[in-house]
Amino acid sequence: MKRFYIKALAFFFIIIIIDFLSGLGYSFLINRSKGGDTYKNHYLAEISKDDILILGSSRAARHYVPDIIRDSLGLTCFNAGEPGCGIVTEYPRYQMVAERNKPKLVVYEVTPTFDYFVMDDYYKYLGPIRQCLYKRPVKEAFLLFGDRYEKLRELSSMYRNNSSIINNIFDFLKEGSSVRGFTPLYGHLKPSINKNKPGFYTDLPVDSLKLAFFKKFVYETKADSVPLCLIISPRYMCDKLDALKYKKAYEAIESLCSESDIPIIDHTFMEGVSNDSTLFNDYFHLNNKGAKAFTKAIMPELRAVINQ
Amino acid sequence: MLFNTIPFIIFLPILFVVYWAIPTQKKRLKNIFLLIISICFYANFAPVYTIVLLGVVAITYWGGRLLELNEIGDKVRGRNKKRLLWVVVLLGVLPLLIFKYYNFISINIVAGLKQIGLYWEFPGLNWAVPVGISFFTFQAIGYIADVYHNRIKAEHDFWDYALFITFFPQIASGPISKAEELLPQIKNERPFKYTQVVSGLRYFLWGMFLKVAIADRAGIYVDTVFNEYNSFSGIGCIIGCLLFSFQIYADFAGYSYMAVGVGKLLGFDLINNFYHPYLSTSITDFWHRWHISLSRWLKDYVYIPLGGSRCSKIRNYTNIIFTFLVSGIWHGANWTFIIWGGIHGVCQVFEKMIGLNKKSYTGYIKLIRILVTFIIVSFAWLIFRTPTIEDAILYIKRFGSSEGELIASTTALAYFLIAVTPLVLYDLIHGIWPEVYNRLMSKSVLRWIIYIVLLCMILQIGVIDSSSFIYVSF
Repeated sequence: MKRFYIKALAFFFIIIIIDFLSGLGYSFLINRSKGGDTYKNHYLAEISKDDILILGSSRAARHYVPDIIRDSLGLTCFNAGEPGCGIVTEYPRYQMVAERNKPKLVVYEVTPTFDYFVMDDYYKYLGPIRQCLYKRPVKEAFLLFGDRYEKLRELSSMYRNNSSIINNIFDFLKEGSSVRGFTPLYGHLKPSINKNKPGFYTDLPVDSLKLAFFKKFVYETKADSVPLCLIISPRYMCDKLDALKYKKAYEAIESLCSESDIPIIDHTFMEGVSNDSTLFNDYFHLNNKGAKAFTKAIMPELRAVINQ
Repeated sequence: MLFNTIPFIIFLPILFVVYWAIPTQKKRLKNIFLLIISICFYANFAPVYTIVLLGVVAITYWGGRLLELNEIGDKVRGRNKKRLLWVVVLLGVLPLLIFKYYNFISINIVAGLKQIGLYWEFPGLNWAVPVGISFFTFQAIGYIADVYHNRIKAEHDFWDYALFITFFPQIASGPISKAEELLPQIKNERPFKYTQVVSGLRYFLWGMFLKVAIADRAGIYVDTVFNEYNSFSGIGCIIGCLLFSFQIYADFAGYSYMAVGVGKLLGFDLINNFYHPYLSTSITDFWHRWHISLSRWLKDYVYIPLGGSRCSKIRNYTNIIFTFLVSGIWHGANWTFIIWGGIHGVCQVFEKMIGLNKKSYTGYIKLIRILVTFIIVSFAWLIFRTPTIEDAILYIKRFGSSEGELIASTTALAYFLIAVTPLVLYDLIHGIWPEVYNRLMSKSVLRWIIYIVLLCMILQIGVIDSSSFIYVSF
């Protein structure tokens, strides 16, 4: 039995050493990343001092073109939108950036299912920012949304970089296709595959923890004197009636926005965009052409918010 | 508390140290300790269902004792013994029937009556299914049948019997042990054996790797495809189907290996449930390698009592199909599981008819047989996976489509391919060249490198803490 315990302890210490060395290896890859998600997280955690920050889900990542915003408004812009994610991912990102430099404008693309409805395991939203677990805002998010063993898991470098080795290596070797965080989609909507118009998620139960986090985000931008603008970008095949039905999904944040004087700019139905299949990659996402058209169209509104 | 969770990883070494601190001679104390741990372990899932578990223990314990009191020889007593057997079996199986099958049976009766113009409603039952009920019920019924047939004596020690049924490594998802295997181990002293304990850790590590790095990783991909199969091309759907074959194998085998590993850590040898199932050369061979404890149970307590192969050919074929329909319904209360079982039954009947398993092949023919068997098994898994028959038909119809996405997620697929490589290598080397495997594993440096690599892969590409075993719902 003694032999077993000695060997078990020896194995455990070898793993600790390997874990430590892995941490050094990952830091090397992250600090020297050239593109992709690795660079995006590193940029937001350590570098970004952009004037305008775009936050939200894939509808943020695919719909807002930073170069157009920079050329129109004369302000630098970074798109931190994360596919499949919402406030749980994006608020810590805002905090990491704001710790270094307060943006002149934050644009938040609201996606109710990810931002405040009950949907998915919290770890799905925390995964994209795990790389930044050494930063206070991310650590707090993990402690809030993670389970009670989170502190134990964080001791491991390999856990902190779980499911990232492939991206880390690729992002170290080459720049990605994103431009200042904007990840365009190409191709047109194929209506023959998606014959049925997707429904609108308006009746899902509200996730009180996510909603509280969202409120904290709104209050913090106000306290930081950072103008915040909530936008809902266009959907395909959405007419004015659909847009009205979809308004129900925003009831949970309407009172928050009105008391905080935060505008919700609703472009679910956008004339000239929502029924043009050449501007969409699928029912929920504009393609590159559509994103450019949409970004240009909202410039006056963003200018008005900045100038307020 | 599932094996792939942090609470269990913390609990296991504490349990190990405390258990082995109890002197070997104090086997009663060790057994009582394990019994308390097992009941607490089960109660952790859902405390109220511990009553169900203990109820099955009590019914089958006393059933065994009563059966023993009836002696064969007297015709009247013989008939009473058979009646008593059926009463005990029915009482033992009753919780399983109620919790797992009540809704399915009532819905189908109502649908059937509707077809003939009769309208009837049964009250619905929205109770969760107690964890592992299919496993511990079958284990208990197997014991009763063995006592009835005088294969074993009835267990007189209630506490030993209770531990046999509730033993925590196997309670949630098997393997299904036989009384003649496990009860002697419970009753005998279990001295600390270094090789057994090291083997246990090895099994546990391998099982954890299969579950966390392969099964859960594949599951992310598979769920995406099966939930939105209309968005995927035919090849995309086939990839999803193939990945599910690996998901269910790694998930279930992973749990089984972990159960065997934990058993060994405590000085017990449990039956190994898997033996390279995807190297099977026929469906018959598949069931000698997949969920071995269930196959054995079905053979001993369903197939052979029906007559097995000692009857006419037609009767034999009927017995095979019936046995696999029972296997299907055991897996779940849904027509998809029954049809899945039926497919396996029909395939075995066909193999028997053409005498496929009477000949053994090598080389290319063996390889072709392995591939064909894998394709048939994967096709059957598709039906197993889909929630309804209609979904299965629609999914199969997608195979002919060229429209849609090919790959659900390149990253998920890439991680899966990295993770599955050790499994494929292990199955090939251990399954086909076991002497090479033994020679490689005899080198301690190589063994340690493998252990370290597996643990690092678990930490770096494993999906940690987010899902439960597929078979826990059975």
